[in-house]
Amino acid sequence: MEPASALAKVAAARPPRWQWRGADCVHSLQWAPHGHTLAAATLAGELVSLSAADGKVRWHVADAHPGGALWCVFHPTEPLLASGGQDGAVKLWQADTGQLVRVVVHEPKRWSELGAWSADGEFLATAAGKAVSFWNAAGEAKGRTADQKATVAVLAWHPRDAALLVAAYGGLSVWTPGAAKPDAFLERATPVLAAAWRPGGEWAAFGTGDASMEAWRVGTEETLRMAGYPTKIRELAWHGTGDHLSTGGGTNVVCWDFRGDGPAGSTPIEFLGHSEFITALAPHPTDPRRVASAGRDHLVFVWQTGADDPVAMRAVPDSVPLHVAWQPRAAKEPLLAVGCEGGEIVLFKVAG
Amino acid sequence: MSSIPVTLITGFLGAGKTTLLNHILTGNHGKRIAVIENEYGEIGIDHELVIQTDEEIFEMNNGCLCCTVRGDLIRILGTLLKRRQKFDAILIETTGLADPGPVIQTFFMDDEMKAQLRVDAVLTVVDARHVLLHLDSSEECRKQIAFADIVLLNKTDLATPAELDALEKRIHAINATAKIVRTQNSVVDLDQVIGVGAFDLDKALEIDPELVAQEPRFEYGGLYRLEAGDYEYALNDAQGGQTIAFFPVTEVSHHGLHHAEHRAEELFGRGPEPVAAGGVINPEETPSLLAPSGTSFVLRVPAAGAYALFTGHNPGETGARIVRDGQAVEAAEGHGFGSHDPHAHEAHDHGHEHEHNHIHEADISSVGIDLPGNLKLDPFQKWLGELLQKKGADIYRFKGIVSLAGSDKEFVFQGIHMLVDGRPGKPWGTRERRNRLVFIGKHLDRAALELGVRSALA
Repeated sequence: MEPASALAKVAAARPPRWQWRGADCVHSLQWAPHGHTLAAATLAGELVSLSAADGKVRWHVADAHPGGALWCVFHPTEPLLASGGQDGAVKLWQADTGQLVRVVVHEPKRWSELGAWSADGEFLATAAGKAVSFWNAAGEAKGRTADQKATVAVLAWHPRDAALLVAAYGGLSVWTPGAAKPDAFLERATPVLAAAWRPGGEWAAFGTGDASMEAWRVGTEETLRMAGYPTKIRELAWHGTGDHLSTGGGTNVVCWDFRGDGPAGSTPIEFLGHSEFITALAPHPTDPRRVASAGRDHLVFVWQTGADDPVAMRAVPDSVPLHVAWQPRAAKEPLLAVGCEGGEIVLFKVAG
Repeated sequence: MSSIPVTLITGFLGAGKTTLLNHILTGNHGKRIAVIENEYGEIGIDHELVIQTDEEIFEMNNGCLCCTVRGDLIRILGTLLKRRQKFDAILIETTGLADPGPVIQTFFMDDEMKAQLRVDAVLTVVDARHVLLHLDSSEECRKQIAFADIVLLNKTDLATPAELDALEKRIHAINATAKIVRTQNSVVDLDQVIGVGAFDLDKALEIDPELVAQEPRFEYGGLYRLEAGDYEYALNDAQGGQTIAFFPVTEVSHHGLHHAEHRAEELFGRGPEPVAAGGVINPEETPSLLAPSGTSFVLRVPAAGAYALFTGHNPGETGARIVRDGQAVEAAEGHGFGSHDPHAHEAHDHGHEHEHNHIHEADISSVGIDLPGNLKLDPFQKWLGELLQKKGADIYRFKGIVSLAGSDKEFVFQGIHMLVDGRPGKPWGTRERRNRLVFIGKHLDRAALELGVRSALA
């Protein structure tokens, strides 16, 4: 950890625009597609909507998911927020008022651990245990995948198509909602902890429990593997154009160049700044050179390919940042939201 | 950051795990305890934080056994540990069929788990009335006892004191180091089961010498009058490497057998010499380890006289016999030492004072080694490393307090499967320097283990 005095100095020099504190660890932090509000799910079971401009609470549901709210996601076009938690429920909320629209499903004793809307908003995929369920925006069931080998660890929709990448211990598969069998499958005898489609959609990258990053040309046998990271990889960020992939799995942000022949045999860019393990990465929404990182050292950096030094550094002295999220559709410089272990949500302005 | 203790509670359905959990949770200890319960577990726990899970075994690093962990625990505990309000203790209940190995390894192998949690103890609850049935029929049951630091012998009101004593002996034959606590309705003093620190090397590892006391390593002994020349030592089938001691005696009598028994105990304490199939067994100062594949060996008698033959297995099982000219030579005096040895009944009742409680737990057992002297670090490390590499899958728990040449402190270590944790312990001071080791596992070869330690003696 950085010395407290150093963190305090950074925090004083670059204070956040605002800070809000929930009752427990922020487990999911999301921007509304229009970029004016944020929503968060906390392990206290809360759902909260905050105004980006001033951090004011727009609405707050204290017991949205008793036991712990694990995820929330905005519908891409409708004012609708979906959420899930340790109570085993999946719920739909009016994003602007916090009114409960529908309890989509409630399976007590199972954690609803993941949820994601397809790019066009037609499908909501949710995972509890080894299978994934599909719903439409009205909350009607639209199918369910076969059981995976273990509890589903990642859901990632294709950037355009109705194709869902599902990852778990045992491998990755790609599903069309309602299909009985996956369209593609890649077996792996290791926990797959993160997965992300390349913006073009042809490749997906994934991070594993045995400290390696792999990229898969989806639907083919073609893969490439980068091993030897210090720890498991949970953090992956494809930069805007898909030319670069930044990865965590240690204290350094390791950034691979996927242009031309790809990264096989190449030396990656390493962004050196964190003194403890990275907890989150987020690609800049408009500048494909940039990526934000958060670490257990209480620091948040913005990095840029071609520059060794970070273009921005922020500190959260009182808590460990676990999530970073860039404001979408910003007119000028996007704001950077940070969700923390102690329940804090902090908003930074990042001029560059 | 101080780590949170994790107690693993194993045992068969109906043994009393749920009652124990309830007893712990409702105890007046002021502790905040999280419970992780198997999805198919018994119900009836009324507690604010009970999380159910389905056992998910994750193999890492190409299926290396010691890297096998419980993915479900990593996921659930990972989320629990992020909470602002922390826990004082975590209890993990597994089913009667779960393998305790991966659960324990989770807290040694996974960096995130290791950083925040530590295994406090493995607690196995057994039902005094039904466990015999499970002991005989279920390897899982024997394995759960083998892994235990504490065995809660529950429902003692349903068994007689003699049955309980016999059960304790049986449990200790599997796991010589487990502490057995007798209970009714799983009512136990919480200090006995929480905060035990069974995996904590700093907490001065102790091995009770009584528990690792040498058991007789032979099941049969006989005295024979033999002529000079070669006899055949024949076995029915390949009996898998039994150790035998063959030596001259002066007296063929009941008293002589008693005398020979002490001599045999001494000889069996030495490392055996291997004898190939068909090879020659000479009357020696060291016992012979018969090749596992052999069914016929040459028993070479240098001069006519009285000889003793003590064998690792009893002849009733192996069909072992001494043969000359097609005729089996009968023992002049014979005695079986095994609990289920047919000879034990027909042999003369000679009123030995020794306690012959060698109980064959067929597959899973404890091997205790207790040798005076100092060990040389390099050969000892090399031997232990190779042993775990080759046999780690079958070694469930092991611990040791050894005396290393050149160090004035004990060296203490313990581990499970291929994982080992060791460091210097207390200074020896004026105490006698000894090496006490216990291995608990499946198909353990006592002679080979002892030979291994012996070969590292300075």
